[in-house]
Amino acid sequence: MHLTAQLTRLIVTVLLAVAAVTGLEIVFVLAQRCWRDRHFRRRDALHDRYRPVIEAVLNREMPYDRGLAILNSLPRIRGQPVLQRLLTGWKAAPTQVPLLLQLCQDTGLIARWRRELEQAVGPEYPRQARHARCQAPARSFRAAQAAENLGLVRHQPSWPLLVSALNSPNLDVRSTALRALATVQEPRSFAAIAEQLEKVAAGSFAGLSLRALRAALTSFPLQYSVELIPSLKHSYPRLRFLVTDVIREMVERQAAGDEGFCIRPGEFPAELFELFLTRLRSDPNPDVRARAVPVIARLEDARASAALVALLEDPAWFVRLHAVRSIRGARHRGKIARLSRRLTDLHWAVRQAAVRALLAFGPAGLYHLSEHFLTTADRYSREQIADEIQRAGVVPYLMAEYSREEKSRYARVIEELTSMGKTSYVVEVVRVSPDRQLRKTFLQRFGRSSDSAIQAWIRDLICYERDAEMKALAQAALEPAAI
Amino acid sequence: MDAWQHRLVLGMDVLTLAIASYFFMANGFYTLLMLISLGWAWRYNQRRLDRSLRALPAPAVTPPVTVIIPAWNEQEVIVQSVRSVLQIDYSAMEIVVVDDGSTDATLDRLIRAFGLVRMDLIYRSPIRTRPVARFYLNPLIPNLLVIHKENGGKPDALNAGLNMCRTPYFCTLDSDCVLERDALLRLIRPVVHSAVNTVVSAGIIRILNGCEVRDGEVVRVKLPATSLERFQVVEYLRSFLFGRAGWNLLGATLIVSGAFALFHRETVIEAGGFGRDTVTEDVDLIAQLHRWALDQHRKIKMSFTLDPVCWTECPSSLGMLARQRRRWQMGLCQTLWKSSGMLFKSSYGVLGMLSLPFHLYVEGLGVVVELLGYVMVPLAFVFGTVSPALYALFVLVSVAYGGLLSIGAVLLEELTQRRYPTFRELTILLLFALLENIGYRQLVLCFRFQGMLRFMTRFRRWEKVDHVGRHAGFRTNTAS
Repeated sequence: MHLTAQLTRLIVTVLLAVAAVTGLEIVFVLAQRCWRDRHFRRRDALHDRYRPVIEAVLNREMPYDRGLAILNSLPRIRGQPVLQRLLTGWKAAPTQVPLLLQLCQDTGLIARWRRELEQAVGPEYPRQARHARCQAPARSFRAAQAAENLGLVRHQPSWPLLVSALNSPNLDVRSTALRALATVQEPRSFAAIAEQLEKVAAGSFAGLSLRALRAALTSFPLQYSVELIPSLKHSYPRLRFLVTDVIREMVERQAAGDEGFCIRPGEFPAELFELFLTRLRSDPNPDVRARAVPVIARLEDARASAALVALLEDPAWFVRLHAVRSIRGARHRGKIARLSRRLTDLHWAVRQAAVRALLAFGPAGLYHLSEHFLTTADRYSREQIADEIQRAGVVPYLMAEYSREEKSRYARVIEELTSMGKTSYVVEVVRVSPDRQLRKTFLQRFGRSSDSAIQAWIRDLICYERDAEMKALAQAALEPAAI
Repeated sequence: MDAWQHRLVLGMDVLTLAIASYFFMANGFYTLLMLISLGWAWRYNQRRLDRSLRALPAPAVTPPVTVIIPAWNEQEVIVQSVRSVLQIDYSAMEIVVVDDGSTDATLDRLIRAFGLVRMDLIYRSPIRTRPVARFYLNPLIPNLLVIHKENGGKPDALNAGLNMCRTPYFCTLDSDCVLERDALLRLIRPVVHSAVNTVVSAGIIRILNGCEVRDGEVVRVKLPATSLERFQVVEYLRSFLFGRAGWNLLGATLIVSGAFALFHRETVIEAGGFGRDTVTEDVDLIAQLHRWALDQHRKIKMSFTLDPVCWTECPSSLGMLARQRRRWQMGLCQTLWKSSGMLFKSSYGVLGMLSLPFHLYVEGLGVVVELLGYVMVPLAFVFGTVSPALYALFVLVSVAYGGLLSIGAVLLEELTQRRYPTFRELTILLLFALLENIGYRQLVLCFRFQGMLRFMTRFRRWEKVDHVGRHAGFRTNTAS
């Protein structure tokens, strides 16, 4: 009884404690919501009040000094975050950028951000990194935000500080400093970012992701790639691979989807030009060669063309894959025949890429593709080609040719597809085609096929076709053949 | 006292001990998970610098992803779901819809809506599946492929999609889900920013019921209208905001919602793909990946973030809820049974020593223990054993503690996502968090118990939960 009473008292105490904590939680949740609602209402009010001021200053509708005085009169605690948000989020036109930057300077924001960032950049990095890596105390968080803000307003003079921040013990600070440098685009910072890449590649610097470093480096214009030459000559293959890939991405960015884009000798640092054409194309590491291929394909030089053709025969399948993928656009039209040889490559991915590359060349590529398709004894190659022909939507074009000239090469491709059982798309094109001759030709040629798709079409013709001749042909097709 | 009465009392004492230990262990651990998640969510929210998303859309950093959508008899929702995916912001994305032998108009509606044409494509199967019958594609929408195959269940459909996947990563998505535009970008972010190979990235699933959907996008978030759905909102918040977040921090993720999750293709294929011997293939795959990684001495990372949001329809009737919870419980039991070799093995790290035992005892066997607890109270009255009042108080404490944890989930929601904009909705959430443990929880417990019985009796049938797409703007326009 005594034990029961004690237990009862204990459980009642626990129950009351649980009820109290629950009550506190509820109060906290509601208070939090009330506070946030009030906070954001006030913030929005400040936004609405001071946004027009900033707009007027940037549009030069209001004298700068007057606008600055108004902004400086913002209450410190509530106003600074609002001002920061307004200025860093402002989508300024190029002519407004200097004025925006001036506003950030004169309102004290730049100085504050620099101060906050300096606090997170210390000389004790090697000692702190081990335990500081995953921690984000409030100070480091503010420093990371400061780095981000300096990047958003593109404050060029802060670039040395941002470079120092790349060695901060705190990962968030390092990451945001990296992104900020990519936004600021200070030429002298490129080498510093490349150095970080070198450290990460060597495994001596953990934390910053390779992708983030790559994204930062590739955001710079192509002419800065000259800073990467020492890394391209480095003895460590992984570094050469990473740097070659960065340059590849920079070239692709500059090309911006233009297949005809090419780099003339004067547009690319001469030493880099030579490195790609002489050294990287035959690098002992296949990953490096693979990443070098797309750059070589864009170089306007006779040696580049020869190198590309040679790389089509590289021992490593993924090098051949990149070479195949790089052959596109009118500049490389002369390599179509060489490209066709990859249709019999040992690796299926290279064969697949070759099919796609040839299809991308339009009728010229299709010609070679169909030639191979009709003559090869390799069943797998034919299957792959049939696959890509369907996916690329080329079948209607082939059917139109079939209708025009029954004995043409493309007509034979259709016949081959049909004999392989790849009839679904073919029959669908025939079914919806307004070309009566096509339907008649196809019916006469394949009416007796046992293929289920063709049989289904013929049955539909019998049921629904209004053309008497077609209907008769369909019926005749279903009748058993005379012995 | 007769001998049998003595034995009965002894038995009840043992049960009481088991129930008490379950109570302390389960609630103690949930409290720990909640505290860890509170701290993590706070920090995560502060660290989250949305502007960093601007860096992601560049092809340099975002790897191609295939979204695999398995579907079986989803004619009401499938077209809108695919449209929703086609609209999301992601530079290199392919979509593979796997029609798992639907008997309704699922395939027809897809063909009509997207102008698909049947094609005879190659099907390579590194993972064996039921036969694939047909492929549908529109050359003008080259990134959308529809596969029609013989019915083999959801894991089989996912494996078929995986076989056709040509990208290094794939994302599983349920056919009734609506993704936010930047959901995939947010889901890939841990992969992009991680220095370690991230093979799984999971986000948060939220309840679509009650929300306004227009053109495949959630335009207004609202609480559902019925009590049953509101209870599920609270449940999902608790499950995702502190259950999954907490386990992820401990590096022992066992449950990832297959409704929306990203995986590394090669790793999943090497681990054997989605298992067909459980009804919750997502949980099973995670256990399988852990086992594979540890057996192969490979270092992998699984990530869970609050950011990427996927909206899904929850059951709106008791019958459908019952089906869902039975299946989940059965699937969990199946996975735990399959993974029993990892239990209490230090070589499997936190997963073997903590996560699996926890899920076995609390989530698996805990169903029985908890039910027994409710049964003990009237029995205590009948047999006059330990004071019935004591038992009743104990039940009261456990209900109250459940309320505390549910309110904790609402608190986490308020600190992080704050998706329900009005004060009224917040108040309703709090109310339902308090009430969840009075009636609803016990009801779900019964369904889970049924699921457990089915596992023990080797019940195999997949109980489908119908999706009706009742939410504003979500129903497929049959004219489209």
